[in-house]
Amino acid sequence: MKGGSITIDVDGRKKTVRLTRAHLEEDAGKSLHESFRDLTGIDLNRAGTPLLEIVSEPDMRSAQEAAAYARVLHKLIVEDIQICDGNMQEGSFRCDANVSVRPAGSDTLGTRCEIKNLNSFRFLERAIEFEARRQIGILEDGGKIVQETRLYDAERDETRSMRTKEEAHDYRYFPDPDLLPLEVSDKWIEEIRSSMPESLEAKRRRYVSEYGLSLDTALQLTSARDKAEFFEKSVRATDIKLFPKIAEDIANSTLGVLMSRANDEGLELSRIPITPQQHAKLRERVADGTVSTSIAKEILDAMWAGERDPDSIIAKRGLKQISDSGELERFCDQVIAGNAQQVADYRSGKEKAFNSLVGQVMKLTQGKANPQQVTEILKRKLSGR
Amino acid sequence: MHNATLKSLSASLSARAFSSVELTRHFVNRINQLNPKYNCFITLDPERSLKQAEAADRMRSAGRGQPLTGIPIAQKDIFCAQGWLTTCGSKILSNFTSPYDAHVVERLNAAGAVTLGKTNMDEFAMGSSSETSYYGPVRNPWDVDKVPGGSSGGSAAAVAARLAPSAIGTDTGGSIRQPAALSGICGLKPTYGVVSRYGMIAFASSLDQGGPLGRSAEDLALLLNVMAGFDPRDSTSLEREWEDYTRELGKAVKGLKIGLPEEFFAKGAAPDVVRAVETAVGEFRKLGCETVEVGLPNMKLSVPVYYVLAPAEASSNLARYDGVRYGYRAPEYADLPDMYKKSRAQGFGPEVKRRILIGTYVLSHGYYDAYYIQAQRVRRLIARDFAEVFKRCDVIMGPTSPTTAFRIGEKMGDPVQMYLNDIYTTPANLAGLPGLSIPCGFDGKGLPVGLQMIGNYFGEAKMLGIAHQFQQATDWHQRMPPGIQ
Amino acid sequence: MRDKWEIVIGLETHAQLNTRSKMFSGASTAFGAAPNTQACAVDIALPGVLPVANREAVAKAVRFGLAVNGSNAVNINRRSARSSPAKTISIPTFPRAIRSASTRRPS
Repeated sequence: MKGGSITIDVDGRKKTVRLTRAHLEEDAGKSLHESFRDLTGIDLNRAGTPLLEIVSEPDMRSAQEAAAYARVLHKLIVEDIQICDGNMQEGSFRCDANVSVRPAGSDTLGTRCEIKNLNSFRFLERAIEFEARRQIGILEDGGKIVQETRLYDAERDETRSMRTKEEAHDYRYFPDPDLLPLEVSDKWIEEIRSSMPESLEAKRRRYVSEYGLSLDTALQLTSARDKAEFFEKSVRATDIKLFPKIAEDIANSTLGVLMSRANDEGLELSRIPITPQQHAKLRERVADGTVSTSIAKEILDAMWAGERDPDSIIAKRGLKQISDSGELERFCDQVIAGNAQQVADYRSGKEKAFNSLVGQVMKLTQGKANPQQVTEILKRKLSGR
Repeated sequence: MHNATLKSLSASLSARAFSSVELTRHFVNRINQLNPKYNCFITLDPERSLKQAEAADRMRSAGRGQPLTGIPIAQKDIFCAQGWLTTCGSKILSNFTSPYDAHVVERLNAAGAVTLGKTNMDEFAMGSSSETSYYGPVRNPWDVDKVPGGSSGGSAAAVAARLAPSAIGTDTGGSIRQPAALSGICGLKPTYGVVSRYGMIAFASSLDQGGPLGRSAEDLALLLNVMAGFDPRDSTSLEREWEDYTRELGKAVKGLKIGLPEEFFAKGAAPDVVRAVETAVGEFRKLGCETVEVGLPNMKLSVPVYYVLAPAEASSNLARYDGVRYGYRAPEYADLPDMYKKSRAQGFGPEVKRRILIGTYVLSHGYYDAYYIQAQRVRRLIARDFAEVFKRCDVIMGPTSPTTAFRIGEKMGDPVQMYLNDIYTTPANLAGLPGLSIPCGFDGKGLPVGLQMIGNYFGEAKMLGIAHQFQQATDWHQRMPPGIQ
Repeated sequence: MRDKWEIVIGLETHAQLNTRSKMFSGASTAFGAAPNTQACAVDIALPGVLPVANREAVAKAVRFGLAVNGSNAVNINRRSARSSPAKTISIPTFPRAIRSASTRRPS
C-alpha cells in the first residue's frame, strides 16, 4: 500500500502524518542469550509470522508527536480494525524511529540515525528526546552526525550505537518466483471492506466529507466506537435532505449534553435511557422550529426520566414554540407596555436592556416564544415603527 | 528383463510372470555389478528398495495394482525422499537425510513404484555434463570416457545402461533433454506448472520442472501420468483436469505440421548431429507430415538470458545452505560469520559458487535494471516468438544438443563453452513450454544423437504421440550401448 | 537552543498480524510454545520446500490499507538479507535468508 495517513492530536493540535507505504513480511526467529552458557539459542517459532511493516513519512517534529502517532496507530490496528493483538511486551508491535535534526527553517534533511526496537510508548518518547539532544549537541560542537543504528537503554535513558549503518544494505529485491503475484481484485477488496466494521479512522473521514463536520468534531465523535455509533444511528434516523444542518447539530448534542449526562451517571452512551432515534427526533423538532433550544433541554430531561417520545411530551406539556407572529406581537406589546423603564434605557443606548425585554417575553410565554422572531419584533417595535 | 520397457514390465508384473521383488533384485544386482563403472548412483539401499517391492507385490495381490506398481525407478538426488540421504550432488548436503517426501515421490509411492536409488547429478543441477558432482563424474555408457550430459546424467546413464527401466529428473535449462540425447534415451520436460516442485530442491524456481526419463515415449507417458498433478504446497503448480498422457500414442501423424526453426540448423551444430536430425525429419515426411520453415529471432539470446535469470534465482534459493540447521558445517571457524563463510566455501563446488556470484551481481543495486530486468524483458520476447510460430505449425523440431557426448574434462576449463551446450534447450524453459528428446541416430563415432520436439503449452500428449509413431517406424530407441547385454 | 533546531522523525512500525498461521506456511503463530515446536519444514527452510502465501494475512493488510485510505494492490517481492556482493551477512534467525515482502503498489 502506498499513501494514506493517520491523524494525531498533540496538546489539542491536530496533525496529519502521511504514510509512505505498508508491506507484508515474515518475522525472524528469536535469539536467546540467557540460560545458554557461551552459546546463543535460536528459537524459530516466530520465524515466518506475518508482519505488517508500516513506514511513515518523516512528518513528525517532536518526540510527543511520534509517541502520539504510535499510540494512534496502535489503537487503530488493535482495537479498531483488530488485525494485531498489540502486545508490546510480547513483541507484537515494535517501532524503529528515524531521527535527524536540521537548522530551523531548513529544507534539507539532516543525517539520520535509526533507533531500533522500541517497545513502549514511553521509551519511544524518551529515546527520541535523548537522540535529538545528542545530535544537536554534536552539531553545535561543530561535529558531524554518523549515520548509524542505535539502541535505547532504558536504565540509563540514552541511545547507544549498535553498528555503523552502511550505505543502504544492498537488499536485493526481485519478484519471488515461488509465489504468484497475489491478485487483490476490487471484488475481494469490497468483500473485505464490507466484512470489516468501518474503522474509526474511516468514519472520521466520512463524517467530515459526508456530513460536513469539522475535523475537531469528527475526531471527538470517533474517539470511541460507542460515540460514533450513537451519532450515526441518530443521523440515519433523520432526513438530511429536509434538515441539511442536522448532522452537526446532532453531533454537538451528542458530544455536549448527552455525553455530560452520561458521564455524570457513569453510563456508556450505548446505555443511556434515550435511544439514538429518539434523540434524532428531538433535534428535528428544534430544527423545524417546533420547539426552541431551551425548551428542548426540558424535553430531554423528561425523556431521560423515562418519557420516551418527544412528540408526546411536547403535546402533553404544550411546549410547542410560539411562532405565530400575531401572537408574538401581542406578547411583545404587553412587555413593552409593562416595562417602560427598560424601553427608555434601550432607546437611550443601553443594549443590555434589550436582552432583559426579550427575557421578559420568554418568561411570559414560559420559554415557548421563538426567540429569533421575538428579537426581530421587539427591535422593530422599539425603533419606532 | 532389464531391456524390457516399463510398459512390458508392467504387463509382466500384472500377469505374474515375475514379482516386483524379483524384478527389483535383478536391478539391484546389476547395479552392484555395473554402477562402479558408470557412477550413476549416489545412494543405494537395497533393503529398503526390496521392502517397497514386497509392499508393491502385496498391493498387486490385493487387486490394487496400477501401471507403475512394483516398477523400480531411479530418482535424481534432487528429489527429497523421506529417510533417504538426499545430497543434490553436493558436499553441503552430504549429510542430509530428508525428513519428508517430495510431492512427486509421494505420488510415485502411492502408485506402488519402487525407489531403486538416488542418482548422481551436477551439483545443485548446475551443469550440462554431470561432472560437477561432489560424488565424481557420471560416465556415459556409450563411451566411458565421455559425459552422459547433465544435470540429470545419473538418471540418463542408469536408463541407458539398463540399470533401471526408467528414472525421474529435473530440467531447468535442458537437464533432462540434453542427457537423454547424449545417452541415447528419451526424456521429457513438461509444461511449467504441470509437475509440482514441492520437495524438488530448488535451483531456479521459475525454470525448474521435474520430468520422466525412459526408453520409449510410451514409458514417458506412463510415468508422467503419475508425476503430473496439482499440489497446493507449490503456488506455481497448476490445477487442471487430469490428463491421460498415453491417449494420443496411437494417433496417426499424417498432416502434422512440423516447424523447423532456421536458428536450430544454423552453424553451431555439429554436422553429424544435423544430418541425423534431418534424416529423422525425413522419416516424419514419409509418415505424411509437412514441414515449414519458421523463425525464432530472439532465440540467440536464450543462453545469456538464461545465465542471468537462473543464477539470480539460484543465489536466492541457495542462501539457505549455511550449516546451521542441517547440512555441512565447517569443522573449524572463528565466529558465526566465519562459520557461514567457511561452510559455504567448503561445501559448494566451483560451478555453484560461480553461479551464486553471477546471480548476486545481476541482482545488486545498480545492475538490477541492466541485467535482471532486461533479461526478463527478453524472456517475454522469446516466449512471444514461440507463440507466433505455433500459429503456423503443430510442433517444432530440431537437435537437442549442438554436439554429441564430449570427453570428460573437455569443457570444464571454459564455463561459457559448457553453457553453450544449452543453446537449443533453454528456450523451452524460458517460455515454459514442454520439450521432449528422443534418440534419432548416431554420429560417426557411434555416439547417440537426440531429436528435440518443442510443443505448445500442455502439448505433452500430442508430442508423446508423435514420438511414439516415430518409434513404431524406427528403432533408434531400442539400441543398446556396446558392452551392455 | 531548541528553537534553532528542528527535529525530524519518521517511524517504522512492525506489527505482527494475528493470523492463525504463518505468512508462508501453515505452522501456528500462537505465543508461548516450547522453542522450535512451531517451525515447520517451510519455516526452517529445508531443501525443497516452497512458501505459500497466507491469504488471511493479505486480507488483514488490505484492511489496514482501507482504514488509512491508502491505495491497494499486491505484488510479492523477494528480498535477500545479504549486503553487498563482497560480503555475506546471514542471520541465524532467518532460515530462508530471504524475506519475502509484499509491496503493494497502486493498481
